[in-house]
Amino acid sequence: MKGKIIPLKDNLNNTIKEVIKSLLEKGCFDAILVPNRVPSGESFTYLLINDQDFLESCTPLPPIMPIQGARALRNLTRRGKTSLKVLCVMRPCEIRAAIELSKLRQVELENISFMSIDCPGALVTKDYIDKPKDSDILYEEVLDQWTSEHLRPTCNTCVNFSYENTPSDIHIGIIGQQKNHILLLPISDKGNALLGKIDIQCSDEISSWQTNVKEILQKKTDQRNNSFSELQNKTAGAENLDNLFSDCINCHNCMRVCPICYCRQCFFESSDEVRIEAENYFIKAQNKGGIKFPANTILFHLGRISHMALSCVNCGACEDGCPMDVPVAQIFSYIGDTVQKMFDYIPGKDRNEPIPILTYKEDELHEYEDSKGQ
Amino acid sequence: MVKIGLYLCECGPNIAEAINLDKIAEQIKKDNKVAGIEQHKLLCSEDGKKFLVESIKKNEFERIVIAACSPKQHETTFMEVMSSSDLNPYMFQLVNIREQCAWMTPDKEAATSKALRSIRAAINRVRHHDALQQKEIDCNPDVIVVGGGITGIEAALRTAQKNRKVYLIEEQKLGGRLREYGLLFPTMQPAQEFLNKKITEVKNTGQIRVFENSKVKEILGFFGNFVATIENKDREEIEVNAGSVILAIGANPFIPTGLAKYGYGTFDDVYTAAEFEKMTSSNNITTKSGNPPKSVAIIHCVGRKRLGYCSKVCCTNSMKIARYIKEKLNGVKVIQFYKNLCLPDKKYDEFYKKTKEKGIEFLRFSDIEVTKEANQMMLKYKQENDNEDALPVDMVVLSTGLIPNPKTEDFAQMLNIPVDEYGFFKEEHMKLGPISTITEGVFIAGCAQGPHSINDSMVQAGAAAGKILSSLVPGRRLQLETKTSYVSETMCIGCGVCVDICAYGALTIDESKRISVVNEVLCRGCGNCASACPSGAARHRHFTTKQITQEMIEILK
Repeated sequence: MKGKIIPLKDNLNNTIKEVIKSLLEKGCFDAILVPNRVPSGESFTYLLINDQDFLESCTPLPPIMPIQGARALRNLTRRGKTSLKVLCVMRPCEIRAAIELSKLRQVELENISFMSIDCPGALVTKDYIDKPKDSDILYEEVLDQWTSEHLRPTCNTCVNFSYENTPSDIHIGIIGQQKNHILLLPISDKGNALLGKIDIQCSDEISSWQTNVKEILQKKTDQRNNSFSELQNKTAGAENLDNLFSDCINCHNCMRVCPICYCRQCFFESSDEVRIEAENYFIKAQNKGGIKFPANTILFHLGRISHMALSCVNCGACEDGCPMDVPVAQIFSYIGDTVQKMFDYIPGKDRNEPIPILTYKEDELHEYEDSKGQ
Repeated sequence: MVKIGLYLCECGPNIAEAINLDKIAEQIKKDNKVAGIEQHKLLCSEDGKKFLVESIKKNEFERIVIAACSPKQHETTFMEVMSSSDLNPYMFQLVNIREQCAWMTPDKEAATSKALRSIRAAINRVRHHDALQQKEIDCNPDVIVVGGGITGIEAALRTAQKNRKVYLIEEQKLGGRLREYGLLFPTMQPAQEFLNKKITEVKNTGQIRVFENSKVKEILGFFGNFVATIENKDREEIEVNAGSVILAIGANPFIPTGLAKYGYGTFDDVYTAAEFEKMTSSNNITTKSGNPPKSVAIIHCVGRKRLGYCSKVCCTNSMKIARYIKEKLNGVKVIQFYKNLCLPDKKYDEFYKKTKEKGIEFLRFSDIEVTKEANQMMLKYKQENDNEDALPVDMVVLSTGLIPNPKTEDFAQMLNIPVDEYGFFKEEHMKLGPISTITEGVFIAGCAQGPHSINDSMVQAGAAAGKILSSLVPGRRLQLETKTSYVSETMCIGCGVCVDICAYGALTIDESKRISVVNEVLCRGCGNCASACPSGAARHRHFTTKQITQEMIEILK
C-alpha cells in the first residue's frame, strides 16, 4: 500500500480539516457529515455541512462519541439515497455500523464515501461533560498511549481501530507519526481516485505506521483476551447474568443510542402482549422467592443480544449511555464476538457479505446439534 | 365472559386408563375458567361427533378445547365439527393428551399432571383465538409445460382435456433428445416410430398449443395464476396465462473433454454414447476411414467420479448400443468395459443375459487409457486383479452420464425453487413430494430433476399431471392457506430480514412505503418471518405472541 504523507499543521484536527477542504474545493463532494463541537463547547454532534465556512468548527476526531455516526447517516438516508455526494468522516466502528445498517436497508450507501481515522477510542461522555477542558488535555495523552482507564472499556479492547476490517474509502493513519505528519491511505478504488486529485506525491514510507498499528493491535488483543476470560465467568449461568443486569432501571437508553437497534418501536415498549396478569407474578415470586420490578429487564437485554449479536461493532455506545453503569457493552462485545466467530463473520467488514441470519446453509453448525438428536 | 367448552376424550382405554380424567375435570372446574366440561368414550367416532355438535349447540359454547389425540390425526375432523356447530373452526384448540401424555409414561400421576397443564394452557390460548376466514381466489386451470422432449410431450398429453389448455414450449423441435435415438431400451423398437406417434397425438389434441423454436423469457405469478412471456420462432413476445407449470427441460450428456485418458477430441473414432446414438439413427456406422469397425469398445462410467453420482441410464443404454452394433455389423467384436453394472429393474437382468448370449464381452476394469500406436487405437487397461493388458480397437464409445441442462439455474431463480448440489432441480421432498417443488404449482418431471430413463420420465410426467388435474379443477375456486402471516404497517421498518428468510417468496418490500408486505396467496404460514422479525411487525394469524405467551404461562406455572 502507498500513502500520501501530509505534514502536521498546528494540530491533528486542523490538518485533517485541510484535507477535507481541498477535497471540497476540487468538487469531489457536495457535503460533509462530520463531528462538530456544540456551541457550549461541552459536547459534540454530527453536522451536515455544504458551506466551507462551517468547516472551521468541525472536529474530525472528537474525544467523545455521544452520537454514533451510523445513527446520523441513517437519519440522513433512511428514506432513500442522497442525490448529493456526501463524505462521512467517522471512526472505524461507526463506518462498520453503517455498513451493517445498509444490509438491513436502513442506510443507502449510494453517493456516500467514508473517511476513517485511526481511532484511539472515545472518552466516557459523562466524564467529559463534567470537565471538558481537562478532558481535552487528557485526550492528547490518550493519543500518545492508545489506551487509558478514561476510555470506554470496549475501546481498550477494540481490535478494529485502524483500517483493517473497515471498508472505508480513505483512511487517515495517525498512529506513531510523532505529531509530525498524518498519512492519507486509499482503501477503495473510489478512495484511490479521490486521493489522485490531491496534489501530493505518494510515498511508500508507511512501514513505520504499519509496525505501530501491529504493536497496538497486539496490546489491545491481549487486553481483549483478558477481559473476555473475566466476562466468561461473570456471564456464566442464569444467576450471574441476573446479577450483572441487576442495576438496570429499564430505561432502554442502551437501545436508543445503539446504532444497530433499528426497530421503529421496540417490541418491549410496544407490545402489551408480553405483559402478564398480577396473579402470574405472584406465582413467579413464589417459585423464585421473590421477583424484581420492573419485571423482565433481563428479557429485554437477552432479546436485544439475540437481535444484535451478529451485527454488534463494539462501539460501546450502550454502556456510555447507561445511567447505572451496567457493563452492557462489555457483555455485548463478549457475546457478539462468540456468535460472530461461530459464523466466521465480522460485522461491517464487507459490504456484500450478507448477515448470517439471512443465509441458509443446509450443512452447518453441526457442533451445536444435540448429540442424541437426529 | 366468553363461554369455553372443554371435551375430554377417553380414546377407548388409550387415555382413560393412563390418565385420571375425573381428577382433571375436578381441577378445571375449580379453576372456574370454562363454562362446561364433558367426557366421551371416542369423540372422533360418528356417535362422538354427533354428541359434540349437539352438546356445543345446547350449551351455547363459543370456543372449544378438546383434549384427545394428535392434531395430525383429528384436527381437521374436529374443525369440521366446529363448522357443523355453526362456530368458526379456528375458535378451537386440540390438546394432545394421548401421544404426548398417556403414551409417554406408565406413571398415571405424571401423565395426569402433564395433561392438566396442557389443558390449562389450551384454555388460556383459545381465549385469544381469532375467527379466521377461509379465502378463495379464481384460478386458471391451464398448464404451461416447459420443454418439448418426451417428458414434456407426455405431461402435455396427460393434462390436456376439455376446459383445460396446455402450452407446450420447446426451444427447438418437439421430441427433444429422443429425436437423436435409433432404438429404445429394452424393447429395441425404433425410437422415431414411437416418438412420431406421440407427436401426432399432440398435434391431434386440440387443447395443446405447441410453441416450437421458442423460449420462455419470464414466468411470474403463483399457483393458480401464472403469466409466462414466450418468445416465439418469429421473435415475437407472446403472453400466456396458466395455473401451473411443469418444468421438463431435461438434461445434457456429459462431454468428457477434460478427461484426457479417454482420448476424446484427441483421436478420431472416439465418440460419446450420445454421438453414437445419432449415427445409429442415420443407420450408418463407419470409422473416419470410411470402413465399418471390426471391433468396438464401450467404456462405462466415464465421468462418474467427476459428476459424483450414477446416472442410472448409461449401463442399459450401452447394452442397447452393443446389441445394435452386433446385429448391424457382421462379425464385429464388441467389448463392454465396466466397473459396476447398474441394472435396477425386473426386466434388465434378462436383457443383460441375452446381451451376453449374443457374444458381447463384458470386462471389468479398474483403470483404462485410450492410446494410439502406429495408426491403431489401443486400449490399455488394468483388470480387476491388477493385471495389465492392451487391446487394439477400431472404435471407442464412451458411456457418459447426464448433467443438468444449463437453463436449470435460470428457471430455478425465476420460479424460486432450489437446485441440488449437482445443479438439478430439487424436489420438495425425496419421498413425500418427489414431483412438486417448494413453489406451489410448479412441478418437475423427467431428467430436469436428475437422470431418469424414458419410462421413469413418462411416469413422472403422468404424476405431475395427476397433481395438477386434482388440484386445479376448471370452474372451481382455489382455497388459500388460512393461517398465514401478515405485516403490521405501523411496526415494520423495512429491514427486509423477512424477505430474505421466506422460502416461498411470499414477502416483498413495498418500495413506496419502505415496508414489507405478505402475498397471502404464496404464504404457507410457516411463521419463519414472524420469528425472524426483530420488531414484532411480521406476525402469524394463528400463532400470535399473545396466544403463545398465554399458553406458555400455564405450561410453565
